[in-house]
Amino acid sequence: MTRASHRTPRRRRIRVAAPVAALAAGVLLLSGCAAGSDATSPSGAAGEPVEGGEITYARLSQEISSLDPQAETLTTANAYTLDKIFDTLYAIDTDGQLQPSLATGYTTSDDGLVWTFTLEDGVTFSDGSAFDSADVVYSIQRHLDTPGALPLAAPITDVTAVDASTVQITLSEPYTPLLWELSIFSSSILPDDLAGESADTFFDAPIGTGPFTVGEWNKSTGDFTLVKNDAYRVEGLPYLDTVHLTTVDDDNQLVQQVESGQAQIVDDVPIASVEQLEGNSAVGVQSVGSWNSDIVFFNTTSELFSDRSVRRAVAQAVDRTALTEATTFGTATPATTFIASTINYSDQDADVLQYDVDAAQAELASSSHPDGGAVTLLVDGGSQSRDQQAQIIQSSLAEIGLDVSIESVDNATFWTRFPAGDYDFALTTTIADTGDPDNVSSWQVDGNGPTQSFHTFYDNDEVNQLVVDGRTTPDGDDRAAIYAQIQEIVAQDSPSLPLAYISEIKATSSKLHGLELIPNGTVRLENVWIEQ
Amino acid sequence: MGWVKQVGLLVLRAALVAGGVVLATFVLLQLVPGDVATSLLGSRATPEAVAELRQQLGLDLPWYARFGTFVTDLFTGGGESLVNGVPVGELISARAGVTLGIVALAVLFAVVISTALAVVAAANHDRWADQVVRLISTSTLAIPAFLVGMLLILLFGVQLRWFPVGGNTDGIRSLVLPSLTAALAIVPVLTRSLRVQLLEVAGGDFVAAARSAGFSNARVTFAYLLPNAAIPALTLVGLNVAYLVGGTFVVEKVFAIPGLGALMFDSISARDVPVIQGIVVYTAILVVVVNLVTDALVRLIDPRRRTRGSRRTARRDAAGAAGRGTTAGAAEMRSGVSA
Repeated sequence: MTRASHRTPRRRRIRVAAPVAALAAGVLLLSGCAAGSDATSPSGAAGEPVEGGEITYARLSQEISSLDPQAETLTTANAYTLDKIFDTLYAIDTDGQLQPSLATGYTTSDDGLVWTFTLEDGVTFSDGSAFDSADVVYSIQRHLDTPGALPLAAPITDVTAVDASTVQITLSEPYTPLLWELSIFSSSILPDDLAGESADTFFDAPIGTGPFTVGEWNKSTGDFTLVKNDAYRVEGLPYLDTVHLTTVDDDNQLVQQVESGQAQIVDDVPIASVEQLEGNSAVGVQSVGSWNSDIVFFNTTSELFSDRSVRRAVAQAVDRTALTEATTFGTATPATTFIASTINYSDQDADVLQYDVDAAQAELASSSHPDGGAVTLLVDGGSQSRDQQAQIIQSSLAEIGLDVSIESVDNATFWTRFPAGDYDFALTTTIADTGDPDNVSSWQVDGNGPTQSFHTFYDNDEVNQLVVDGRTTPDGDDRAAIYAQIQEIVAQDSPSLPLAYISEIKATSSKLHGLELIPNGTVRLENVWIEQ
Repeated sequence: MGWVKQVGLLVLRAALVAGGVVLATFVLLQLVPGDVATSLLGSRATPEAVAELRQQLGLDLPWYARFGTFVTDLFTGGGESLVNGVPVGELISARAGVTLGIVALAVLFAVVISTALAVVAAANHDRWADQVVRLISTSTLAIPAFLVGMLLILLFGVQLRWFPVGGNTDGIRSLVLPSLTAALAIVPVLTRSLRVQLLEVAGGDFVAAARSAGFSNARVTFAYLLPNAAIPALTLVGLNVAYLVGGTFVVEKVFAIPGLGALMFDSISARDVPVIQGIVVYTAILVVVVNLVTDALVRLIDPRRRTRGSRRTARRDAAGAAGRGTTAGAAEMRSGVSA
């Protein structure tokens, strides 16, 4: 039996603490915006936590539509709410690493096929009933039976309860990212048999082991309140009694609500407002380097971009450092490989194509379209920074003879046309669910994967095989070498052009402390307290 | 034309408008790319997931089947939201209150503000006060509602903190700034119309007669001028309610008010067809009803448009009826009004 390590020597982590973006290889990039003294370290100097109180948490999102972790509609609003109510076996911490949550630890068999989890003792659900291995078995089995929006990709053949506090998962082949997969929202632990209720009834007022439960939820008006789970397993937590979750459609309104003190936490702070908010002493700005990236994807079946040389020409014609600086006000770092620097095994030393207009022109001249041509850039609209990025790409490519027209469309249109291959090249923000490189690799570069290399139709047999190898190789140097190789091949083939590794930015009242930002975009509220 | 026949024709007209709106909504939604499945799944939109969700929601049916559902839904209370399964009727009734509150308050603000401005302008015809009012009403016409809203938020919400910056958490205080924003969008039009009418009516013989009878300026203004000048302005208010409802939808977004407008925006971006059609039909009916009511009001105030009824002298009666209601205001305003 070996205990697998989920930390890796090659991992590089970036935290964009407002002014300073620490780039890999020790390079420090100083950006223009001023320091928020409490950025990324919210608590501490403010004194002893105070129990009680209520806050309003305003989010720029759709309203909460379902709290079922296996629903087809696992939107961010839903996911970032149900993770306050349910726990997972392992949880992601503020550094983007795994920590035991409902599990206390695990062992794997030598062949890597049998994973044995030991569970936390003395945990109760919010209705007072005891948590045990039957709940875990039920939850994983339900996820296997009802895949939902985030199906379990692990080749699980069997889940059994060894005893009340031990669960065994059997796989048909080794699967290194298993722990990560069990940490995603969709792997929330529900009570066995939904405590005897139907799914419709249960998920209207779910019972979980998380720090909060649903207080009020009016689906007609959208009013949603989380209240303290008195049975929460950590003594004294959460500090807050009540959290009102509100939805705001307009990002100016979001900024105004936190400035006026009407909301104590706001999500998705528009990057153009960060500097303004940091200058306001009543507001604190926190950020964390996320797993998300702004990326351009090429349709490798389109006329121009089916030619590798044309894609490489584009990659060398765009100055990503200048683009990132200009459009994200120093809140993001220029991207190199498709695996964000915050994700394990990201290789920031990989040999990627650098900004070089002469090389770009030479590359285009050697292509099947030496005189360039006209292409349309499909933009996932509604984001000021993406629209600006598109304009910079347009003017950069004009220099090498590519005539770009920009088509910025709304979300539903984008996600209809992009997966259908109805585009030449497309700009969007990708979301990774885990800090393991398998997640982003299977989505973005695996020609046999669920999205055919994220709708680029890039299909490189060598890469496809390496993705499988990476998934089955235990953590360590061998696995690092596999992902280094994937990143290098992909960078040279350029089915996509990563632009920027972006940050999650939240603003809070300066009286609010203990907010924890997680690189997957959610926050932890159990340690949050508010000065009276 | 008989009373019953007249009402019947009006109802028929309203039904035709609503029917046209339903058809136009359905056709437009067919032309827009994307559906609720791609919108909800977003970056998770694998072909399998999209196909499964489409099948769950009945989006894989041919257009005529969906049009059938669309029409049946209308007659059976609107169907259910594709996003959260709540009946459309429930969603709309839960949100309509706050939107109607804003519209009603906005009409009140608009009438009060434009009456005051128009009276001051007309009373000071071609003097500096008139010029200022005309300048204000021309320039505010050019400022979009969302900008006015943001300026009001910054001043009264963020700086002075008199009113909440947004949301609907504070009763009527939450509605003051949004209503004011919506009202300011139609104040210029109303003010200009009312001012021109006031000036026109001021030249009438009955006004000269009233003055020669020794009535005070205020009495002349409020008992004789305003009621007569108000008729075209009232029609204009009625016509502008449609604009106001549309404007309120934008204003709701700026102020994060969880009303029909916010629901509409969310539903459009999520392609939640049953909810979109529910709101559109509801709003169309609302606008038609408001126009009917305005029509009726104008008939009530303007004796010339009454086909039957009292034989009392027209102008005196209307002026007197409206004048009684504003006597208190007239007394307060007396010093400010000098023609």
